Amino acid sequence: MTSIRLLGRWVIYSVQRLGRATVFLMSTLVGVFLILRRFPLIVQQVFAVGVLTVLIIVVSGLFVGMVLGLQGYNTLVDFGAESSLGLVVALSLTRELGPVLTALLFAGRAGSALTAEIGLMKATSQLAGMEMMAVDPIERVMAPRFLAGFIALPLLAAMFTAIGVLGGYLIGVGLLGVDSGVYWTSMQEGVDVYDDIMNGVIKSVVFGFVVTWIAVFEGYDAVPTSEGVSRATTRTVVIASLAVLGLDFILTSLMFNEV
Amino acid sequence: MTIPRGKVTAIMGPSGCGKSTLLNFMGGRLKPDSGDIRVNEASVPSLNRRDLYALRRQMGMMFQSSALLTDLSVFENVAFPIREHTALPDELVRNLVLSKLQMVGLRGARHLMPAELSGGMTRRVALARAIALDPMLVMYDEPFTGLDPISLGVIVKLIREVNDALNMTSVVVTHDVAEGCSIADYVYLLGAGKVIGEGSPEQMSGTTLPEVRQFMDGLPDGPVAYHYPARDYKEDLFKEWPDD
Repeated sequence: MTSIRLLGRWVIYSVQRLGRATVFLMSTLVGVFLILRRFPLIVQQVFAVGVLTVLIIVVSGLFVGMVLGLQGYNTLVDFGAESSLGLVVALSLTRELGPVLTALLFAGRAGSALTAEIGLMKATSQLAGMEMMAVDPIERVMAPRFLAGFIALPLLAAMFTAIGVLGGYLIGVGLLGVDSGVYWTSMQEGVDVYDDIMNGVIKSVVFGFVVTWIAVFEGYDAVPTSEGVSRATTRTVVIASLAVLGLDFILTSLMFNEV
Repeated sequence: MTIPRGKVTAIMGPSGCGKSTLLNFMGGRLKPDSGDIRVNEASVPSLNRRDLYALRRQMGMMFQSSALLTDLSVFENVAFPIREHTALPDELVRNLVLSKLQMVGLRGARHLMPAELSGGMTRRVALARAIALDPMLVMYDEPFTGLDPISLGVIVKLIREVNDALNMTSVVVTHDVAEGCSIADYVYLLGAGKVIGEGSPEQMSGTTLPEVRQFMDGLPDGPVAYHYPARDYKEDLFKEWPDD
C-alpha cells in the first residue's frame, strides 16, 4: 500500500513540476521577445554560457576526434577500407557525437552554472528584490540566459565537430599514414549537407532549447537554501543528460530511419 | 491598520508573527486569503500585473538580506532601478546615483562590489537603492538585525533623515524595541497574526496590557509562553522506553 501511495505522490509531484516548467517556459519565451531589444544583455550571457565553455568543448572535441581516428583506422584497416576513415570520422561527429557530447558537456559546464547562479539569486532574495523594484526577473534574468544557451549550443556543437574532424586527421593522416587527399575526399563525397550536417544542427538546436530550459527552470524552481540549490544543480545535470540521450534516440530514428 | 502618510511607522512583534508577510502583502508579492490592502487608494491584491508593477515603481523596499545584485558594483546596484525604468542619459544617472550614495555616505565606495562591503555598508547601499527613484513609500524589513552599534546608529539616523528629507512614508518592520521606538512616529504591535497594541512610542511604553508589556520589556515568560507546548514534564520523564 505504501509503495502505491509513494508512486501516486511521485506522479502528482512530477506532473505538477512539468506544469510549472511549461508555464515558466511560456513566460520565458514572452520574455525573450521583450528582451531582444536589449542586445548587450544577451551578448553578456552568450559570453558567460558560450565563450567560457569553448575551452572544454575544443579539448574534448580534439580527443574524441583522435580516438575516432584511432578506433576507426583499426577497424577499417582489417577490411582494407582505411580510405573511408575521413567519412567515418565526419559522419560520427556531425550526426551523433558532435551534438550529443556537446550537449552533455554543456549541461555539465554551463547548465549547472546557470542553475546555481539563479538558485543563489533566489536564495539571497535578489529575484524578490528585482520584483519589488518592478523588474520582472523572468524577463531580466531568465530570458537572456535562456536565449544565450539556445544560441550558444549549436555554435559549440559546430566547433566540436570541426575540431573533432581535425583530431581524426591528426591521428589518421599524421600518425597512421592515411593519405591526406583521401581523408578529405571521402568526407567530401560521403557527407551530405542536408542529411548529415543539417540534421546534426537540428539536433543541437533541440538540445540547446531543452538543456537551457531545464537549467534555467531548475534554478528558478530551486528550494532557496544551500541544500536546495545543490540538489537543483545535480538535477539539472542528471535530467538534462538523460533528456539529451532520450531525445537523441527519438531524433535519430526520425531522421535516419531510411538510411 | 492605517499607515499615516509622511510618517515613520514601526510594525513590531516577535519573530514569526507575520510582520514580513505584511510587507509582502503591501508589495503585492503575496495575496491575502481575505481582506484588502490599499496603497494610495489602489487595492493591491486586485491589481493586474501592469498596474502592480507601476505601483511598485513608487515603492522602495529594503530586504533583511539587502538583496543587492552580487554581480554589479555599488554604483550599478543603485543605478539598476533608474536604468531599468527610465531612459535618462548616463550623465544624469551618474548624478542621481552619486546624490543617493552621498546621502548614505558611500559616494567613495561606489566602485566596490557587494562582497567587499561590511554588513552596515550593505544595508546603506540597499537603502540608497530603495530610494533611487524617489518612491512615496519605503518598506524596511528588519533593518537593524545583525548590525554593530555604529552601523545601527547610522541606519536609525538614515531612515529618519531620508523619510523627512524626501517627504515620503516609511514602514519599518522590526523586533527591535529600542530602535523601533526611537525612530517611529507610530507603532503597531503584532502577535500571532493580530494587532495587539498600537499607539505612539510613548503610549506603548506606558501601556499595561500584558501582551504588549511582555514584548516591550523582553520578558521570557508571559502571554507568549516560554515552553513549546509539551506534555507534563514529570510524566514525560517517567515514561517507559522506547520513547514516542
